[in-house]
Amino acid sequence: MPLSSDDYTQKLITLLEDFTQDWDHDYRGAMQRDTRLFADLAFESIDIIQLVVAIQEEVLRAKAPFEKLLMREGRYVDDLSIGQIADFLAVQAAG
Amino acid sequence: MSLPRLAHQQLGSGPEVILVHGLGANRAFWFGNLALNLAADHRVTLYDLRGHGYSERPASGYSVTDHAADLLALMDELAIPQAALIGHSLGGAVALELAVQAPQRVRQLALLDSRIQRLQASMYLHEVEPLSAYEQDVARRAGGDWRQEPEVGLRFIEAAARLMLANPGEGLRDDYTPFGEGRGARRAARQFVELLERTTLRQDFPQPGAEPARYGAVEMPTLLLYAQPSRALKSAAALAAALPQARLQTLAGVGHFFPITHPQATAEAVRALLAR
Repeated sequence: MPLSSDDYTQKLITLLEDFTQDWDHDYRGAMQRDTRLFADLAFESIDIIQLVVAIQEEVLRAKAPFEKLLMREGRYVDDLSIGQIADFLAVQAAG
Repeated sequence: MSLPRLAHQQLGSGPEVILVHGLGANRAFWFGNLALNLAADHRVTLYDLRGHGYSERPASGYSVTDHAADLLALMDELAIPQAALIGHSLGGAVALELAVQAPQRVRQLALLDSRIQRLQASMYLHEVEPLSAYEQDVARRAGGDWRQEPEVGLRFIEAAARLMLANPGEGLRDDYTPFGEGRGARRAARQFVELLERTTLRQDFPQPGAEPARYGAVEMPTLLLYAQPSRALKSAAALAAALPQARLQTLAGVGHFFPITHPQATAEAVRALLAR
C-alpha cells in the first residue's frame, strides 16, 4: 500500500531535521506541514537540489520528476512547504 | 593524493553530457535551465567542484589541473567513457584542461565565457565598460583601487561574499546575483569566504593549466560561447586560433552569467554543438 502524504510528511521532517542540523537559520519551532524551505529554513537553490537527491535515495528509493515541483516557467519556485513535497511524493508513490 | 568526494547527480538518458560550474557557484547554476533542457535527450551529469556546494573541501588542490583530475576521477567512478563537457567561466577552463590531458574522454567541448589563465594572465574590472549598476555598487562598497586588481574574477566574487556577510539585505541585485537572493545566501557567502580563508584556493587559482603547445590534441568539436562585450574575449580569440575545431560565437548585450539570464540562447548554441 502506498504511503500517504502524512506518512511522507513525517519522513521529510526527520530527513530535514538531520539535513539542517548544522545550519544557523533562526527557525526554532517544530517542523510541520506548512514549514517553508526558503522562508523558514533559509534554503538556497543548491540545498533544494541536494534535498531532492536525499529524498530519492533515502525516502523514495527511486527517481521522480522533481522538476515539475521545483520549476515554474523556467525559474525556481519562490518557496515550497514540507506538505507540498509530501503531496508530490504521495502522488508519485500512487503511480 | 586522495581525491575528495564530489556531490553529483544525473538526469535523463542518452549521450553523456557533463556540466561544470564556475568559481563560487554550484550545480544549481545549471539545474533549472540547461540541465533540464538537455536531459530531455541526454544523460546529464551535474557536480559540485571541490570546496563548492556539497562537495568536500580539502585544504589544497584548487588549480584547473586539480579540478580536471577530479572530473576525470568522477567520470571513472560513474563509468562515463566519453562525454560532452560544457563549462561556464572557471568550469570551462577545467573542461579545456581535461580535454588536453585526456582528449579521448571528450566528445565535444564548450567554454562559456571562460578566461584561460595561460592565455590571459590578468583580467581587470574596467576592461568592460560601462560597469553594470550591480558591479558599480559592489566596487564602491568594497572600496580599494579596482583598476589595479589583476584578478577581478576572484576578487569581485570575494567582495560580493564579504559584503553579503557584513550587510545582509543591503546593496543592489543583478539579473544574476552571486550566492543567491534569500537568507540562505549568507550561508553560501560564508562558505565561499571560508574556502578562501581555509584552503590554498587563492594561491592555486592563478596557476596556469596546460601549455598552448598541447592544444592541438583538442580535436573534438568545440564551442566558444562568449558574451559581447566580455572581459574574457582575449581568451576566446586565442582559443579560436589555437583549437583545431573551435567555433567562436558571441551573444550581444548579455553579461557573464548568460547561461542563467539567457537560457534559451545558451541551449540553442550548446545543442548545435552537440549535433556536430
